[in-house]
Formats: sequence, structure tokens, C-alpha cells
Amino acid sequence: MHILLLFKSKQINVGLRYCISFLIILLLLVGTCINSVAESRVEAIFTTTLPVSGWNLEGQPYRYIPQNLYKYINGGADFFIAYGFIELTGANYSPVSGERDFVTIDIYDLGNKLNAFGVFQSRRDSHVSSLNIGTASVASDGYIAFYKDRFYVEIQAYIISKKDKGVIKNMASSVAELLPGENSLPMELSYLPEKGRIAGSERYIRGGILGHAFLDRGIMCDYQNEGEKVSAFVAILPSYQDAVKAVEQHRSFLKKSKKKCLPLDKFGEHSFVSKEPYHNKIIETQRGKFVVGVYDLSTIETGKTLLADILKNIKQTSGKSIPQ
Amino acid sequence: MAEKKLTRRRFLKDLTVTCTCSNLYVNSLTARHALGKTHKKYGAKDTINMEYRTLGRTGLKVSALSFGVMRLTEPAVLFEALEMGINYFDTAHSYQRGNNEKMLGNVLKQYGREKVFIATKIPPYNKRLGVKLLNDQKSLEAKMEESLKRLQTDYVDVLFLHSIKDPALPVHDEMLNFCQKMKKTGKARFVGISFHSAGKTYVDTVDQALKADFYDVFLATLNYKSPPEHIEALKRAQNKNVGIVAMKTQAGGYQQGARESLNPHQAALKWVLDLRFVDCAIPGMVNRQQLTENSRIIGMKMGWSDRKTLAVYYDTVKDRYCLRCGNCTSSCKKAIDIPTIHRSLMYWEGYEDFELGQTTYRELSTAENALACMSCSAPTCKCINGIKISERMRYAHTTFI
Repeated sequence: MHILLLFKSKQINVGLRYCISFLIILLLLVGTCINSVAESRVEAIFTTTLPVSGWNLEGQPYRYIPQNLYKYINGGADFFIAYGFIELTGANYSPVSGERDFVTIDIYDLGNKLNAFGVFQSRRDSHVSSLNIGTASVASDGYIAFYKDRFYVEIQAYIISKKDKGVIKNMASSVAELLPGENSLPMELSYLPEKGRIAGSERYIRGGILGHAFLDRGIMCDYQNEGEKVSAFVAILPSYQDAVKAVEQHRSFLKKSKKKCLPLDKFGEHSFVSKEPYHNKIIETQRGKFVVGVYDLSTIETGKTLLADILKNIKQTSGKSIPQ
Repeated sequence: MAEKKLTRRRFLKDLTVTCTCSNLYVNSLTARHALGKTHKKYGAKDTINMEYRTLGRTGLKVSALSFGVMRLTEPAVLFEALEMGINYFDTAHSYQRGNNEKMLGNVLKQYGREKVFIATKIPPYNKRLGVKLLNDQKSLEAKMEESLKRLQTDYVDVLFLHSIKDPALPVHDEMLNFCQKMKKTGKARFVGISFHSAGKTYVDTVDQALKADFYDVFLATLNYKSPPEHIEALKRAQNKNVGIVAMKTQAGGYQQGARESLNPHQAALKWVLDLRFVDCAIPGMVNRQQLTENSRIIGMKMGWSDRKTLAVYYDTVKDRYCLRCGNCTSSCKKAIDIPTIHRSLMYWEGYEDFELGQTTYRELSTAENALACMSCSAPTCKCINGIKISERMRYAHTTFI
């Protein structure tokens, strides 16, 4: 706007005007180029930047979008779509030697870190070992999965030749290095206190925490709390009003299920203690756009400290301006 | 008791009263149907009288409303379904990389394995679809062992070959040998195929599988948008006593809100269950609300008001529901990314996720988004399914920008 006014005011000469116009056009062009470079970066991992000695890219990388993902992974596609799936870019590699061995790399773009984390956790096998690849990874014979930033990656291999056994790990490391973005955990995980947390139990749910549609999405994890295993969740609602409404809906569900709902002292107006069907006792409260709960409790006292700690973390992470 | 004498006057009086009452009753029924007040509102708690049907030649008595477990992560919803009388649960070796089978196994172990029927699916194809490499019998068996272990059981009631894409596959030796062995060893009581292919492949798959005269159950895509030839193919299967399990019953996922007595989701499911050849449907459910909503239709017949709801619903979505054929892409001279823009709208209108729709749309460059559609006076874009593409593109642009 200021530049336009400057142009109109005739305070600058014609030559300078041309120079400024040229610079603006140049900036726009650079912007467009950067954009297309970013878009093609994932595919470029396969076509130009993933040379693994003795292995060749088979044909061209493939792409799937939500409309046709089912052609590749059948009914499993719905699961990815629910987690914000945008695009899958993948490729097959085979050895130059002509053996029947192969490596398949699939990179799912899920739009953001939390979705990538959610998919990774829901598909991980708690019994398999992890590697130092991406933000978190799991590996078993002929299989590596990891996530980094908004990307979830699965690599499957069929390798007989002993000398090539390390190929899958090398490929995974290269892909992780080449993918854009950072190797940090989703910010939302910091709501859950680390003390007593059962490692690997963290998950991001879409579709209904505890099976309730009104608690559509949020993070959860299990804790070892005073000798018992309990679970905690932080449901993320669009607004403060939605969070208050969700607590009310939960209360009304429990009442319909003939469970008593009592107020939970010191945790604010929108809080209660009750019994969740199939999950023992539950305590729940609302802060800002969040609904926080601890369940599978044999006594509510054991859960109160954990609930308070979660609220403290939310306050620290989200700032002090959260309405009660 | 003294019997009243039947006079001409009395006869005419009784006749008038009877006719008036009958007329009023019929009228009130019609009105209730037309206004859609026949059914209880969603959310009201009541008992469900689950309907059971025989799954073809298997003889299994399965609940008409069965459970597609696929996306579910919360076991409590399964317990609730079991309490409702749902007794057939569908999962697959690949869902959530096995965690889905594990969850189902844990729940059914607590509830009692023998009281329910489990169906799982083993992938016949190797993941490298490009080369159409088939899994050999040994690896199919290894996958089956793994599934049984996750499900904490010695057998499944129905074993499906997952997502058949090639009509020749059901008669492939390796597949037949695998299925036969699973039956013989008691690891699968019955076997079947699942498929969601389009057009002629769908029909050919049914006919080839029928020719094999070996498969007991078909798990097939079936909804109110299914073409007549698909429906006829499944009827042929049913005539040969093959059990029919319907999936993808509520195509589209668009919700219209709760203003009608029977929402389009329910009407779509009911439409499928009203087909005589369907033994059960397995809508995918992820929470209690979906379970309750679907269970409401049990025992109901598809009334004309429900058909009207479905027709209105179809009318509403037909000009915006993208069937994903991809033919439109080449018809636009300006190279607008039509499928992605449709997807943005689907996130907003279908999944009610405005943020995701907007993010998806805003990721498009100005050359790909619908900016050019705003001033396009002679659109060349065409949809063979009748979607008014240029209107939808403009709508997306004004909604998301």
C-alpha cells in the first residue's frame, strides 16, 4: 500500500519506479519457485536424492490422495483419512544384482505433527524395538516405521542377501534426514506430566475419547499411579463453549447410564466424579477449550494429583489467559 | 350379558363410527410417516431387539447390524455393541498394523469367544501392487497365525481374502490351497472374499468366485448408489446360498444434522438391510453415538418417508459428491486442481472439519486453487457424474479464502 502511494506521489523518478517493480516481480517469482520446490521435495527424495549403492529405483514414484488411497491399502485408508491424510508418495527399490529382494518406502503426509504422531502410535507394536530415526521409530525384521514432523513413513523390505541386510536402515535414515521439518514431539504432549507415564502409551485419538463423539479428539496416555494403572486424557475442543458443552454431554450420558455424577471439589464449576462404563471411576474437569479426565481409578484421591498436574501443564504451555 | 338388538339405525351408526376411526388412524399413520415422527429421536435410551439373519450356507445366525471394527480404538464401544446383541465383528490383518485385531481379541476374551463370530481378512497381494506380486501360501499361513495370536483364539468364523482386485484371483491355486488348508485345520470355519472394485470387475469377481463354488461368504461394497448390475450379481450369489455381508453402506459420510427423524446415514443403512439378499451390514463405527444411531434402524421397515429422505439426501449431495473418477482434471484448461478442491470441501461438508478443509485449500498455489474460476466466463470443466464443477470451485474459494 505504502509503495503504491509512493508511486502515485511522483516523489521518485521513473528509473527507480522500474527498479522497484522489477524487484517486486522477482520476489513473487522466487516465492512461487520456493513453493513448488517445497511441494516436490518429497518426491525428489526418491528421484534425485536417495542413491543407495547397489539398489535402483523401480519405475517412477507413486502418489495416492484421499480419493484413491483405498486402491493401495484397502479399508485401512479410512483410518489415515481420519487423521488428516493429504498425500502418499512412495517408491519401490530393487537390487542391481537382479535378486528378488525389494524395499518399499511409503511417505504419508498427514498435514501436521500431531496427526503423524497419532498414526505412528496407533500402528506401533509395543513389543518391537525402536531405532534412532526421525522423532520416533520402531523396527522389526524387514520393517521400519517412523514419523518426522507431518510425515509418517513405513518401509517394508524383503531381503535375503546378507550383505544387504543393513540397506533398510540406511534408507530409513536417509529419508528421515531428507524430509523437511523438525524432529520434535507435538507440543500437545507436554500437557501430560512425565512422572509415572507409561512409555509408549501416549496416543492421539480421533473419533471419540472413551467412545464419546462429543470428546472427538485429544491426547491420552496411561500412568502407573500408586501401584495401579490409570489413564488420562486431554480432549481438545474448538472453543471454551464447546468444552463446557462436552462436559455437560458427558454428565448427561453418565446420568442416562444410571451413574451418579458428583461435583469434584476444587476443580471448578464444570467438573465431576462418576463411574465410566467399563472404566471404573472417572474424574473430569474443563479448562479453556480443554476437557481433562483421569479414569480407571479405584479411588478418586489417586487421580486428583494427576489431574491437577495436567491442568498446571496446560496453563504453562498455553499461557495464563485460559478462561476457567 | 344382554345382547343389543341390531337395528338398521344401529348398524349404520356403528359403521360410520368404525369407518371414521379407521380413517383417522390411517391418516395419522400416514401423517406421522410423512412428517417423519415414527421413530424415537436419536439419543433416547431404549432397548434394541436385535434382528438375526442366517449368513448363507454357513448357517451362522448373525446380527443384521454387525460391526466394522476397522477404525475403532476404544474397547468400551465394543462392550456396548455386545450388550446390544451385535455378534459379528469384522477386522483385518492389516488394520492399524494388527492393533485392531489385538483390541478385538482382548475384548472377546473377556466377553466369551464362543458367544460371537469373528471375521478377519488376510491380504493376498504383496504390498507392491505395481508388480501384482501375490503372497505365497506359506506367507499367507504365517499371516493367519499372527492374526489368530492377536485375536487370542484358535479359529476365526470367517476368513476373507482381502480386497480382491483381479477376478481371476479367487480361483488362483495358491489362494484355494490356502483357504482349503485353513478350513481343514479348523483355523477358519468358513472362507470368503472381500472386494470393492468398480464396474465390470465387481461383477466378474462375483461370477468367477461363484464358478469356483468354494467360497461361503462375500463381503462387498453395497449402498444406495450401487449400480443395478452389482445388485444383480450379489443376488446371483445369494441364489447359490453364499452369505452376503455389506460394507461401505453409507457411502459419502455426509451428515445432514439431526432435524429429521431418520437421518440420511440411517436411511442409507436401512436401504441396504432391506435388500433381501443381504445377511448383515458392517458399518464402521468409532463411538457410541454412531452405534446408537445405527442400532435405531433395527426392526424397522423402509417407509416411503425414509426413501424420500434418502432421495432428498442423494439429490443434495449428487451435485457435490465426487465419485473420484478423475475425469474432470483434463477438462479444465486452466489446470485447476479440481480433485484437491473437492477434497477440501469434503473435509468441511462431510467430516465437518472446517480447519482441515481450509488448510488443504490454502496449501494450493494461486495457479491451482479456484481463483481463476471466479472470473472464468466459459468453463470447460466437465463432470461425467453431473457435479457442477465451476459452481463448486467458486464456492470453495469464497468459503476458504
